[in-house]
Amino acid sequence: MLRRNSIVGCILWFVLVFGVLAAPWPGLRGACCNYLQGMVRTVLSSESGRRELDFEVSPNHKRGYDEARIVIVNRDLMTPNGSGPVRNLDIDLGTLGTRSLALLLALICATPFSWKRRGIAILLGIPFLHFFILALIAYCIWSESTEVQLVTLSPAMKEIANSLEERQLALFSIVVPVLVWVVVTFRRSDRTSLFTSMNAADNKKAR
Amino acid sequence: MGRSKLRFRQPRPSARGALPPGWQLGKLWFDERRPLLHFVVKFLVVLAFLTAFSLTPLYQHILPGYLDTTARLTNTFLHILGEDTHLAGASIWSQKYSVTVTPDCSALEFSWFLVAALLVFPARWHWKIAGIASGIAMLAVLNVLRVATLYLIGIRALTLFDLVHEDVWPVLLIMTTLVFLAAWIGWTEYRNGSEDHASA
Repeated sequence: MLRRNSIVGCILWFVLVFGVLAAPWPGLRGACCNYLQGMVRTVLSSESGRRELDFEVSPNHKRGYDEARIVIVNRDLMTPNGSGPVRNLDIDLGTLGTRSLALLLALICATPFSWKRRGIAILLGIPFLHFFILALIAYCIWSESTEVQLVTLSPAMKEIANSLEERQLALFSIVVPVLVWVVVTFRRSDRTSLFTSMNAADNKKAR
Repeated sequence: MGRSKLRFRQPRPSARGALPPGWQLGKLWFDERRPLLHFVVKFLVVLAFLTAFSLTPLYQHILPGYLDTTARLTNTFLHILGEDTHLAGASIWSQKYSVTVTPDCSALEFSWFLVAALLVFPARWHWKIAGIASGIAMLAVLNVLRVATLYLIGIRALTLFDLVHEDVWPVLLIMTTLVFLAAWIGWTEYRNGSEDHASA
């Protein structure tokens, strides 16, 4: 059973850890942006095929944002001298990476379990988070690829894909860390967890 | 020279069943989290439904009204604080500075998250409705405060505007949404406990 006192303690612990980790520490977002850009290059970029991904420093860097610019190229549309239409995708990878990681770590740290369990949850949660960040960027690249004829969509579908891209980017920072936290931290048997009532409801249904 | 043969090693049956230890560990992991995974799937279905709703013409028709209302409430709040601001649609302006409430500044994504989580969490329906209504109202009020503070920072400390707009308020909104959710879950658990105690 959840106790209100313990909830207050967990909330304060969460606010403190998240506030500290999500603060714009100098250099942290830039490093995170470079790291994620390298990961995207390794996983999603390939030397063969029609699609080529190039990575540049976004002009928004000058304004203090740690954005990555992914240049999407259709090799079939390029002329022999290397010119042709390209699509630029600017993603604030620094904020996306640091904020979602900060939220996941704060949620795990604030959960009142043993440090061993919290450590295991962090070890499991970080690869999960990487996977979802990659999936999000892969979707954005796919959606933007329509502009250089790598993907063909009807106008209605294209509008839906673009709208989903905007909404996913907005929702990602809160939804994915919370869901990853729920899955990697809790177990069915956790009586002190927030799923006590879920089990009770399931049992009532089963009767 | 003898013929080479391809040999496949059969997985060794373990004490707990036919599955090899690695698979057993995975199965155990999933079995322990089955209710949580059900929760996650239901939550994602509701969130997908809300996202699909946001693509409909009805939502596109409602959204400008919501943004205008946010701007109107912010303008009223700024008048209370003694600012001489004017309203033009979803924009608040004065001789010194202006801000516009765009769909990105609506904070609606936090409301969707909250609505999906409260709908899926097993609790009584009137508690869910109370939670959803108060959660959305709280986020709307916070959004008015956000726009108002951004306007005030725009006229008093413009160098801090990007920091507050891009870092402080998004983090505060995430924190508030999750704290509200935790508090609501704690409240429903407390009510459940006190009702069980009373019936015993």
